[in-house]
Amino acid sequence: MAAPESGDGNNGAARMVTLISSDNTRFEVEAAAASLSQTLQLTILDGGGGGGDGIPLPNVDSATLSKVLEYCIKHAPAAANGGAPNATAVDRAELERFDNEFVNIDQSVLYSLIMAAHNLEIEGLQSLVAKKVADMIKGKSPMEIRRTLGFPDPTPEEQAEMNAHMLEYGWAYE
Amino acid sequence: MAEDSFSLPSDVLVLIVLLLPTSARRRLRLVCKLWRDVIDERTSEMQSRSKTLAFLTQDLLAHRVHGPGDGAGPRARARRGHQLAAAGHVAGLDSGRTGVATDERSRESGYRGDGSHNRGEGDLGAGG
Repeated sequence: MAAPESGDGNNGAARMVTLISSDNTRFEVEAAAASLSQTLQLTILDGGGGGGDGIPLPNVDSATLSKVLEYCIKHAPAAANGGAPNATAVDRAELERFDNEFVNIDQSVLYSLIMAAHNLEIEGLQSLVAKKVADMIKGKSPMEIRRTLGFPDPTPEEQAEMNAHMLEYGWAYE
Repeated sequence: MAEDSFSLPSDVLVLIVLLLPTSARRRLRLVCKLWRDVIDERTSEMQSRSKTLAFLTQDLLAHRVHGPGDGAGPRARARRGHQLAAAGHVAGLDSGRTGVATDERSRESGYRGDGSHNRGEGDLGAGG
């Protein structure tokens, strides 16, 4: 889980890296936090992102990136602990509270986060946003799921199949 | 705007589907064509039933793939996707041996699984 080199050369100030959002905002963040992203971890291990260079992230805008980094910074200590097996119940409860609050957001923001977590390969965040979407669609009929997620109107074929499904199983959604 | 508001990458959709009970899949298949394809191709019944075998297979593969190095680095992680895909194939080929490799859990669920599979095909027939 943890970066193999974590702790290495970290005696003084933590190593910092710079990330550059699609709209050219620069974010300076501890390498340990950025390394929650598998994609970034590779670059960082190769020595990228330091100095004046910065790692450009053309697919992530600054609003999304700041949200993503909020997650990474909060989760970095636990991740460095190898998933924090010795974390106290209080620590875990605090992370859980943070996570719940973190995905309590507008649907468009949620979607941006889903895409960013996917592109940056941040495992914990991917699970968190997937869990959120799963909760949103749990127990809903196909048509309700489409509405919840803002899909366009179904094709006649899709509609016919959903109608057939509701004829047979509509009672289950009452 | 609504059109692309939630066109999820299939990897993400797989994560979501796997978080929901297997009994929900028949319903999720009806949401749209993309979901149906992803559910049929990536979260097949076989995968959910022979989970134990898939894990074993994946471990074996992991050892083979990472044999020479220590396999702990992030690059090893990056390869995981391929391993998983490979594990899926091997699990498919080995399905005849499932009874040997997995525990009573899979035997227990055998009938149930087959039943829902048949119902699934029934749905398809009615739809097309």
